[in-house]
Amino acid sequence: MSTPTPEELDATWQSLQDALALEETPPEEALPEGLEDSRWADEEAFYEALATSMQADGPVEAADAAVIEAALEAVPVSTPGRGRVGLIVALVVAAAAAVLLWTLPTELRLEGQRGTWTTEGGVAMQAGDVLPEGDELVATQAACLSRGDAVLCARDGARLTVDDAEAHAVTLRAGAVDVQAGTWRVSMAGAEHRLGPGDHLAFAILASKRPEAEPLPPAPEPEPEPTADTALDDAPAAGTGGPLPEAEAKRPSLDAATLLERARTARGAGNVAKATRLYRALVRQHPRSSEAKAGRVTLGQLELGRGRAKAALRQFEAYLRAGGPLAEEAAWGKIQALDRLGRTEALEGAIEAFLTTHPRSVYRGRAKGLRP
Amino acid sequence: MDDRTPQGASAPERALVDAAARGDADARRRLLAALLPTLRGATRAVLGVGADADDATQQAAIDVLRGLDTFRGDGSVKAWARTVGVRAALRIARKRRPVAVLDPEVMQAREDVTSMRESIPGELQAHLAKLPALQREAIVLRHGLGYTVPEMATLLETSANTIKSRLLQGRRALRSEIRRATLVAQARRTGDDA
Repeated sequence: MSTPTPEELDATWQSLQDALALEETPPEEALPEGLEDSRWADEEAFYEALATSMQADGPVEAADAAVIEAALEAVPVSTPGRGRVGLIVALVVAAAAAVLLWTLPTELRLEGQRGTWTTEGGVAMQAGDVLPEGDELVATQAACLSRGDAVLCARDGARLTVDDAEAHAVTLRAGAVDVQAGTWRVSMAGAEHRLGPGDHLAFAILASKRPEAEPLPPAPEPEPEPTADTALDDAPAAGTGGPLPEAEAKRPSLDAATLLERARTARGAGNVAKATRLYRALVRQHPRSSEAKAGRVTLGQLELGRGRAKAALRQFEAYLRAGGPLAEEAAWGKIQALDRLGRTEALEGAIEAFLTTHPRSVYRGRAKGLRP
Repeated sequence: MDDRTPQGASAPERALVDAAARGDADARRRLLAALLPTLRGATRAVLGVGADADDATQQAAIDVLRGLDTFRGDGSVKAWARTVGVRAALRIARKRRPVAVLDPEVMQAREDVTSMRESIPGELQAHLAKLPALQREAIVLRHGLGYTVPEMATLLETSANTIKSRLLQGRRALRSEIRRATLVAQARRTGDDA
């Protein structure tokens, strides 16, 4: 028997380790005893260190008392009679929610028995499997994927990635797809196409029946630093408003629903800069729409994440003035923004108001911790 | 508190949980105080150190109190609490992932950036940070926290094949990173010795 080469040993070690990680039956080959390789040792050491560090308890912290008190307040001790009624109500609500969640499609699934989708890692996805977002998938024979009633089928050898299951968004990287049902957003070579039933798209060749399958518009101009006089995104949610500046009025605008959908797609794809621009455009161009109203909280969170606390505060305060179901999130965002800005007096007032208005909030403990 | 034992929860653990479930105020407070470090460790393992993990720890503390009746005593209280913490962290990861993790620009700008720097050694953090969020999550749950593939499928509400795909992708990306780092370190040592 010939001595295996280092490359063969390495390949054997890799297949053994990966099979063990996936809890699958490892291949028949075994490594010779006593064989050492620094690459294997480094990888083994990595996973040992990972397990050691991640299974350790966290530290005891000064805020623990506040966290405990908040939890005790959020889950009061119930009396036996009311507890049983509460339990029954909770079970009914949970059962209804489970039925609702079961009927709502949340992931793209392989439709029917035709064909197979194979991932980059060589895993064959069978009918009913949830297809992973972000991984490149190759269609074997004609393979379809669906979410609810929407169905997209691909020709043999087509390659695509699922960008956003909820938005029916995929990127086609090779081959061709046909839309059987529903509306799909298919990106190809940097352009996005909205396809409906009967539409066909082949890589690098658009062969849609619908001439209005439009690419995305160019990204809006970067926002100027806001001043007291140019707070375009402070347009009131309802009421007077006023004429937009001339440059803004001339720019072609999409409808609120389209802007919101594209903003969410950009956010889901991790493109925060683009998502921020689109949310700003939504709030600026359609200030009275319900989409803009809800979008203010998201925009505030994005601005906060980008270190723009003043801009974030404007959004949260605008939402709170109008009111809505996201008031708790907007109020917590306002507190965080005020803290970042160092506005101590306003922060104190905002925290007291928050604790009064949202006594069972999950943010309660952290809000108390920000008290000046 | 004891960690997972083949015999399940110890008698003192069982007694404390039972008392807390009956509504004993002191028992509830002592139980949370004992479990908070475990909850914090679990949420930081998934989300890193930062505001998201703090929120998840708070929610996990609430979930512990709400779920006392579900603790069966098959394993230790600490192991049960760790899973409660992981679930709470995963819920937040689902809601906040696009902002908190994927965009390097955001991670640079945020002062309270969700960072793993304080919870795991720097080199581990550097390698893991290069993975896409879903692959990193799979690696952390499987190799960091020791969950099996079926357990992960339940936690993440997805199929076992999807989990395996993410694990394979993540392991192969990490393998490449670790080997590159090994070669760089070797070359550096060779240069130093020259």
